[in-house]
Amino acid sequence: MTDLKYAYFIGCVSEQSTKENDIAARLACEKLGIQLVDLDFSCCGAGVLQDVNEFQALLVNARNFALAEQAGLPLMTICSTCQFNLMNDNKKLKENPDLLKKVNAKLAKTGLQYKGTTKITHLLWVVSSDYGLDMLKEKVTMPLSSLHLAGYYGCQMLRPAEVLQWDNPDNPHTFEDTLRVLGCNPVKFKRRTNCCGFHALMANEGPALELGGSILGAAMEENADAVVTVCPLCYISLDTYRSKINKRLKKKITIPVLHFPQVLALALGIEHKKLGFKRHIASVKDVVKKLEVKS
Amino acid sequence: MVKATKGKALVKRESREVVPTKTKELMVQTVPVHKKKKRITFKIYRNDPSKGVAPHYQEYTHEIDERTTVLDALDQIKWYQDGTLTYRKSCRSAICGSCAMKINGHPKLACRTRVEKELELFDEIRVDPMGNAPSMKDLVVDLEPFFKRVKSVQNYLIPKPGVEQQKEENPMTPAEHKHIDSAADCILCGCCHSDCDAARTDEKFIGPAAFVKAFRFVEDPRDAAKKERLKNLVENSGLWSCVHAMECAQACPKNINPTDKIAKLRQLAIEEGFTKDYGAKHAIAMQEGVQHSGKLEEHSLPLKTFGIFKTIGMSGMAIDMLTHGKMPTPFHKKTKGIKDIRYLMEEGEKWKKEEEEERHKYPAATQQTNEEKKP
Repeated sequence: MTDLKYAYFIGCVSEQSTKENDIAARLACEKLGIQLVDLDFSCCGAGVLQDVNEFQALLVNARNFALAEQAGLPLMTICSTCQFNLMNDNKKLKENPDLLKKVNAKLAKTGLQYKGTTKITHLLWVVSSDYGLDMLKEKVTMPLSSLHLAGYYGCQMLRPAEVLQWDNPDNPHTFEDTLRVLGCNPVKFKRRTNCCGFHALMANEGPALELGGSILGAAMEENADAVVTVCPLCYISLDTYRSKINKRLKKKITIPVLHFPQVLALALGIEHKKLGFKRHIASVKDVVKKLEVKS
Repeated sequence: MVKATKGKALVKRESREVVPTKTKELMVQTVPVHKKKKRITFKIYRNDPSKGVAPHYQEYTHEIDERTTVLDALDQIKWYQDGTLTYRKSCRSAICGSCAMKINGHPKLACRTRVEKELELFDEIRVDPMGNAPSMKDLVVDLEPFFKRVKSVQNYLIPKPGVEQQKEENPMTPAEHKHIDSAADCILCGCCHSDCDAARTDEKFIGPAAFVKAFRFVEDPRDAAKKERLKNLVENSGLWSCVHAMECAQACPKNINPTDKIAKLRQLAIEEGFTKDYGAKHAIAMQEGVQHSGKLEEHSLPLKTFGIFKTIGMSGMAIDMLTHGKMPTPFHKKTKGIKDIRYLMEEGEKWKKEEEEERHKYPAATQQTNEEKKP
C-alpha cells in the first residue's frame, strides 16, 4: 500500500464537459491507493484571466496554494493548462518574497496565509515518479498489449522547462515509459509536443483547427489506435471540435482521443463501461473491441 | 658582457619556475579534465536551389570533446571536410543571433549549444534550418519575411511632444526601465519564430519577436503612439491568435518569454478599450465567470464571445455535445469561498492600477548620507 495523498485540483473543464476525465482519475487513484482530497479550489485562470488581469489570477491562485498548504498536501492536477498556470504563479511567489508579502497582505482578509511551500504535480508525474513505474507494473492486471497508443504531451506540461522542471521538452520520454508499463505499445509520433490549438479556438478558429488536425494526422501516420492526452483542453480541441476539424480539413478523421486517466484505469482492470467512453465524440468502440478480443 | 646577460637570464628563468605549493594546487584544480574525445555523426540538411540540389541530409563524422559546440563542429566540417556547407555565423558568443538553426528539431543558437549536452538526449546530431522561414541554401534561411513582421510594429520610438526637443536627457523611472528591460534584450535571432505554432498556421500572426518589439515601445514612457500601436496589434497583427504553445518561451536564448509579453499586450489592449474581437470577449467572459462562480463557465463562453447568431451557427458541434452528454450546464457548482474570490478579484483590480501608477513614480529617496553609511 501507499500513503500518497494529494489535494485534488480537478480543473473547471473536467467538472463540466470532460467529466469522464475526473471520473477515471478518481477510479484509477482509488485502485492504486492514492488518496485524493477535495478542497474548495477556484479556477487557475487558464492563461485567459491572465490576459485580462494577471494580478487577479495571481491572487486567486495564491488562495489555491494556501488551501493546499493549510491541508498539508501537495496539489495534483489532471490538466496541463492548470499545471502550467499554477506552477507559473507559484514560481513567481516562491522566488519573490516581496511579492509573496504583498499577496499575503491581501489574502489576510480571507483568513489565509501562504508560506510558499505548496508542491504542484500532475497525475502522470505522480504515477511515474511519486508512485513509481516499478510499483505500477505490479498493479497492472489488464495489460493493454493489443493497443498502439500515441501519448500526446502537448505544450504546457513541458514548456517552458524553467517553470515545469519535468521531462526535457526537446525529447521527453516519461509518457511513453508509463504507457509501456501499462502494457501497450507507445507510438512516438512527430507532433507529440506541438500545440493542439485550443487556446486560439475562440479567437482564431480556422488555424487553431488546423493545428488540432495536424496532431491527429501525425498520430494516424504512425498507425496509432488512439491519441492519449494528459490535458482535457487538448481533448476538447482534438475530440469535441472533431466535426469542425473534419469540415475545415475536408477529411473524415475517426481516430479516438482518450484521457490518460482512462487508459490508466483500463490497465488497472477497471471496466470500460465505468469510464465514460460514451461521452467521446470520435467513437472508442474499436479500442474497446480490441481490448475485449484480447481478454 | 654576453656571459653576464646569460647568467641574468638564467636566474630569471629559475625564479620563474619556483611556484609556491599552494598556487600549484590551485592550478591543478582549475585546469579542466578533458574526457576522451569521440567521433560522432552529424546529419546536416543540404539544399541548393541555384544548382538544382534537392533537399536532403548529408552525414559527416567529426571528433568532439565535451567542450565542442555545434558551431565549432560545423566550422571544422566546413574547413576540413566540405567547403560547400553553408550557414550563418558571426560573434560566437550568443550576442549576434546569426547562428540560429534547428538542432535535433529545436531552434537554438549553434554557438551556445554543446554537442555533448545534445547527446544526453539524442544518439546523433541533426541540424536543420530554422522553421517558419524558407531555406535559401543549406542552413541559411530567408529572414526578410521575419524582419518584415518585426518592422510592421514600427520598431522605433515615436517620441512624445517635447521628448525630441528637450536638450537634456529623457529619463525613465527604474521601474519603467525594468518593465521593458527584458524585451529590449531581444537579439532578433528568430529562434522564437522558428517553432511558433500560431505563425505556422496563420500568415497574419506576426510572431513572438515582433510582439516583443511592440511591447518594448508600447510600454516606453517616452513613446507617443501607445494607443495606435495597440490598435494595429489587435486589428492587423493577430494579437489574440497566440496559442500559448510556449515554444517561444522555451526557445529564446535570452530568456525573454515572449508569451508573457503577449499576455501583457492583451491586458493593455483591453484597458485601452479594444474589446470587440473574439479573443478579448472570450477573456472578459472568463473573468466574469470567475467573478460569478470562481470557475470557468463553459456554458456561457460561446454566447458571450460570439453572440447569439454565431453561437447558433455552432449547432453542429452543439448536437455532438448534446448527444454525448457533454453539454455544460448553467447550474454549475460555485466555489464555496466565492465571497473570498470576489474580494480577491476586486483587490486584483485595485492592485493592477496601483502597480501601473507606482511604475511611473521615482522611488522614495533612498540616498544615504555618507555619515549614515559608516558602520
